Amino acid sequence: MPLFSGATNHENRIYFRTKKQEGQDIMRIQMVKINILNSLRGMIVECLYSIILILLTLFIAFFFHIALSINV
Amino acid sequence: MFKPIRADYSTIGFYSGKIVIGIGLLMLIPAFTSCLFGEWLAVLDFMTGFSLCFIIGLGLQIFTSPQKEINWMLGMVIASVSWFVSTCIGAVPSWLSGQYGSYLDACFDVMSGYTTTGLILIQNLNHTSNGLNMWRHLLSYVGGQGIIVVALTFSMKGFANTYSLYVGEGKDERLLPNVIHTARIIWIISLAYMGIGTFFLTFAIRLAGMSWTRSFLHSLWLFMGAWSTGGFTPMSQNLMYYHSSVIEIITLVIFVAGSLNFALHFTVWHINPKEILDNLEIVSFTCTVLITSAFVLLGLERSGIYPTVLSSWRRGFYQLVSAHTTTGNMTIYGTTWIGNWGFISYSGIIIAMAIGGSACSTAGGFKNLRIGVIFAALVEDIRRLISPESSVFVQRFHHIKDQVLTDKYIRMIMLIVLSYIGLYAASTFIAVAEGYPFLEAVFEGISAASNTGLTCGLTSPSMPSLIKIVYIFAMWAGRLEFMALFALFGFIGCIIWGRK
Repeated sequence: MPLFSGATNHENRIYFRTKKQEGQDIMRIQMVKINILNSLRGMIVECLYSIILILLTLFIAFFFHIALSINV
Repeated sequence: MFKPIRADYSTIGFYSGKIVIGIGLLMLIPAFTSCLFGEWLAVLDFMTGFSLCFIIGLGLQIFTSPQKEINWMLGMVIASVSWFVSTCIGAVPSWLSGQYGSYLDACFDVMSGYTTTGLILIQNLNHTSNGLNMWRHLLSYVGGQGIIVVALTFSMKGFANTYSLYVGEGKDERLLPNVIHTARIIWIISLAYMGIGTFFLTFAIRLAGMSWTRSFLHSLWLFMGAWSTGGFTPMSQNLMYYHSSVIEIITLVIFVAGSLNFALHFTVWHINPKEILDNLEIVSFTCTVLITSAFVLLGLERSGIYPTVLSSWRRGFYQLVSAHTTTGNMTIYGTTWIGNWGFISYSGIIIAMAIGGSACSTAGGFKNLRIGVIFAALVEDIRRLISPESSVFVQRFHHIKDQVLTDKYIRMIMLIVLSYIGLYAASTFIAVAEGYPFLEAVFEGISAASNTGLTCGLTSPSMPSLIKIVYIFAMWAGRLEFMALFALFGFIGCIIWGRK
C-alpha cells in the first residue's frame, strides 16, 4: 500500500516494512522472550539447589544435636 | 631456549596497553559515583588514576604493535603481566585516598579485589568515601569475571588467538565456539544475576533500617562482593554489621551461584536444566559441602559455644559455605575461629577453603571438578586392582557432556593440585618463620592462596611487609592457576639465559 499517491517504491520501503521483515521482528522478540524465560528458569533451578543445600545441612545440625544429647 | 625478540616484547606491550586503558575506563565509574555524592577529593584521586592509565596505555599502543600472533607462551605471559600491571595502576587511586598505610597496602587490597580474595588492609573502612567503596567492589566484580574477559568483551574483537589469553586467566572452558562470544555470555550471566540480586538485597537492607539510597549502594556492593566470591563489604564488621538472617540467606544463595561454573550456568539456562543433577562438579561440591558441614556442625555442637542448635547452624553453615565457595563473608569475629570453635570445626573450614569452588567460575582453590576427577580416577584404579589383568577400562565422567578420563588429563589436574598444596605450604611456612602461631599461619596462608579471604586476625596493616608480598603473590598465583605464572617465569628465564 503506497504511503501517499505518487510515492516512489523507495519511499514506500522506508515507511512500510515488508511482511517478511515484520515476521523477522516478531521472531526476534519471541527469541528474546524465550531467552529471558529460560534464564529465569535456570536461575530458579540454581537457587533451589542452594536451598536444598541449606536444608540438608540443617538436617545434619539437628542430627548431631540429637545424637550428642542422648545419654547412654 | 631462545631469547625473546623485539616482536615478543612489542606484542606483550600492545595487549597489556589495551588492558591498562580498560582499567582506566573502569575508574570513571567510581569517579562518577563520587561526583554524585560530592566527594571531590575522591574524584581527583580517580581522575589522577585515569590519566595515568591513559598515558601508560596510549603510550604502549603508540610505541608497540601486535607484531606476532599470540601463541600459548605469549598469551600466558600477557595474562600474568596484565594482572600485575593492573594491580600496580589500580592501587594508585586507593593509595591517594590516604586510607592505606603504604602503597604496598593499597596494592595488597587491589590484588585481593581482583583475585576475589577479600583480605583487606584498608584503615577506617566505615568512613570510606562511596567512590572508593565502589572502586573496591568493582575491582572484585571485574576480577571475578576476569580482567581479560572484560578486555575480550570490549576491545579485542578481530584479534587472532585470544583464546590463550582467556586460558591464561585460569578459565579453560569455552561456552561458545568463539571466545569473544564466550566472554559476552559470562557478562550476560553476571549482569542478569546482578539485577535480581541487587533488587532483593535492596529491599532486605531497607527492611533492616537503612535509607533507600544507602540500601541500594550497600546492596550493589554486597552483591558484587558475594557474586564474585570476593567477600568485600562496605563495613569493617563484614556481614555481622547487618544482623539480618534475610541478608545472610540472600548473600549465601548469591555466592553459591557465583561459585558455579559459567559453562554450567549456560547449560542450565539455555540447554538442559537437569544438568545440575548430573554434573560431576555439582556432585563433588554437594558431597564436600556435606562432609565439611558435618565437621563444622559436630565441632560446634561439642564446643557448645552457641546457645541453640539453630544459632549454631546459622553461624557454622554460613562460614562453611563462605569458605567453600572462597567468598570470605563472615558473620563472626576472626578471633572466634581458633579461640572458640574448636579444632574439628576449624579443620572443616580449612579443608573447605582449600577445596574451593568450581572451575571456570569466580572462585579459587583446587576446584570441585578436580576433586571429582581425582575421586573418579581413584575409583578406576580400585576397579583395575580387583579385576582380571586382561580387563579394559574406560572411565567416564559427566561435565556438560560425557567425557573420557585420560591419563594426560589426570596428570594435568594433579600438577595443579600439587602446585596449590605447595603454595599453601609456602604461605604457611613464611608466616610461621615470621613468628606467627602455626594454626593462624595455616588458616591465613590457605585463605590467601585459595582466594577465600576469611581471616583469623593475622592480616592487618601492621603485619610484616614480607608476609604482605608473599600473600600478594599467593593470591595472584592462586587466581591464575599457576600456568600463566610458570609461563612468565619461563619467559624471564629465556630473557636471562636464552640464546639468540
